[in-house]
Amino acid sequence: MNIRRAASISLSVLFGHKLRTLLSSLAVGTGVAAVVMMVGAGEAAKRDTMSKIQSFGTDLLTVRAGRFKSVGGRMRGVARFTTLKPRDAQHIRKYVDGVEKAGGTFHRHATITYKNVRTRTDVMAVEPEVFGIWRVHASEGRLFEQKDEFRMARVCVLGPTVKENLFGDGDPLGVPLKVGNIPLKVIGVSSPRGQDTDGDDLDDVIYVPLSTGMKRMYDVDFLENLLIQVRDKESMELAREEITSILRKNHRLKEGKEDDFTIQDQSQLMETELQTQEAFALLVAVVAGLSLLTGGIGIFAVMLISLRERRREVGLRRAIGARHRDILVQFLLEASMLSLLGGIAGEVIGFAGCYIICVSSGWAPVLPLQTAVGAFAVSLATGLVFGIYPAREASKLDPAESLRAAV
Amino acid sequence: MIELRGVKKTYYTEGKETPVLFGIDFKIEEGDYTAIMAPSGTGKSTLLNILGTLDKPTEGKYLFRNRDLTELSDDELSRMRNKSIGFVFQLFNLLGRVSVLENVLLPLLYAETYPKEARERALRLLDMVGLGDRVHFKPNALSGGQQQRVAIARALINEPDLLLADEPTGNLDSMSSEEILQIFDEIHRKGRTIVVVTHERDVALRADKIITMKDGRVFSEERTR
Repeated sequence: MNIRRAASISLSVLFGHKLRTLLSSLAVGTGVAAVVMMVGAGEAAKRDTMSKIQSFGTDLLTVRAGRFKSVGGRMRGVARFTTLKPRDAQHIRKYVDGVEKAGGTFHRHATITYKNVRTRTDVMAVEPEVFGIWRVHASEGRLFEQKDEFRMARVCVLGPTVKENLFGDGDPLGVPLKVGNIPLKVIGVSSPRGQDTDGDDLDDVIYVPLSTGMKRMYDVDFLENLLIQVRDKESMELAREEITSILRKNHRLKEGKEDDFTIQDQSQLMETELQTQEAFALLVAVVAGLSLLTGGIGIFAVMLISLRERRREVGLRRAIGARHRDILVQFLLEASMLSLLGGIAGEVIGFAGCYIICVSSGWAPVLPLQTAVGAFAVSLATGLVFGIYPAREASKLDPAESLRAAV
Repeated sequence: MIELRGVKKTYYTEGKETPVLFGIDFKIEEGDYTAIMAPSGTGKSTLLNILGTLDKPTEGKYLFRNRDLTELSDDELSRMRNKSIGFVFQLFNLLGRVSVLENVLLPLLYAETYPKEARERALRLLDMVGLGDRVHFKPNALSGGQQQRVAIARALINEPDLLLADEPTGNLDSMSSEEILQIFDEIHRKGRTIVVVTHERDVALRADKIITMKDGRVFSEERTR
């Protein structure tokens, strides 16, 4: 049997039954679209996370004041402590080999008043070195420096979002703001940092010198985080050990007592984040796979039903010389054409959906080519697998009997 | 060309034996136009299926050009039907969603080689049956008589040795029937062997020879001219 001619006749048959063809292709198409869309979007999200983490720097250690555990793939604080002090930062800067920069931070929510405009935002109290660690520079005015820190200067630097909210296109430099009840002078606007891995805006923030925040504003003597930049990746492990021993000593932790801080590095952050996303991606793949299965069942049903009404056709084809094998091939051909048709439609819809999700989420669009090829192959295989039983049934029909079958 | 020797057929369903043919003997010569006449329920369809190799006899021999077909495998029989037998059915059995031309070409799908001039041959046959202007129609747009003429063209596309027709006029009005029978006359004149199974005396009388069946046996053989 000439496959090309058989295919062309099968196509005529399929296009003759437009609704039937449409419905069963649609079933497979939906499955393929779901796979392509979800896997594509998942991949884009993953890359987005990776690039964000990368942009923070892979040479960064974060000491967090408390115990953190990975719960459901996300780091959660299970106990917070007030033992992490600015002194710890000084000691680490001074004694740990390989540390380039180190700085403490803590943050509070606050209401900011400028003339009669009020807005709520985060106040981030940081040591000047933190700007360097975050690779933040001044886009207007200047950032605060060691001398501001030393003098507990009443100054602040606006994140671009806050600047936009309060001043629009106006010039904020030198303007007095009230942060909570404390008057501060705006000395600069920071460069944007974008979003964190949860999608929160890192620029909706006001930076104040750590000492100003601790003593003048909030009367606290402990830090939330201590950011440390090491010289290179190789220094990381050793630095980590030394930092641990300094902190344990400073915090007077006895032998055998658990750390009251958690040191995270980028690879760890990345791992947790990726774990979450991979778990999610797996779930999505399973769901999408299920919808492909549904598509397969759709084809199965259509082929079986069409077999009933096509018994006479099978009989005729046998009468004019089709062998068992030819009937088998013909039905498989039709099943795979249905799934192929659905596959193509699904790919188009899936890519479009993936693109829309990516763009609306602010991720760089990813064309999941591998997935696309995979989903295509799977859809074709679905058609073949679910087409086998009906095709076998068709080929086993007795020619004489099926010719007598009622229409 | 064709010889049946002691052909018996018994159906077995759920342990029950139903004998249908009780030993049929006859010969059909090359170029003969033979009618097999039988009232319904006398094993007519069974005999036709055996002649068309769609069914095998339980006993006896079926010689086709001195070759015993009862010994062939299923695939060999398919090839045999494709090359040597053209079928015309009472209910036409055309593919409804496929053009007239493609219907006529359908048997070539299962042929060993696809002749280059297939399309020309199909068009010539459609011309012969008077449907040269309908080649791109779908069968559902044609009358019953026209559909049967498409089926005849399809039966002849592989230039078979034997044209086997099962009640070819059974579903047609008398005018269409006459057209079909005239086409058969013409095919016969060109030398092809034709076997028509019918229960209508008028149809049978167009043939050279009438074989009458009764209760699963050959009752009589008569020459009409």
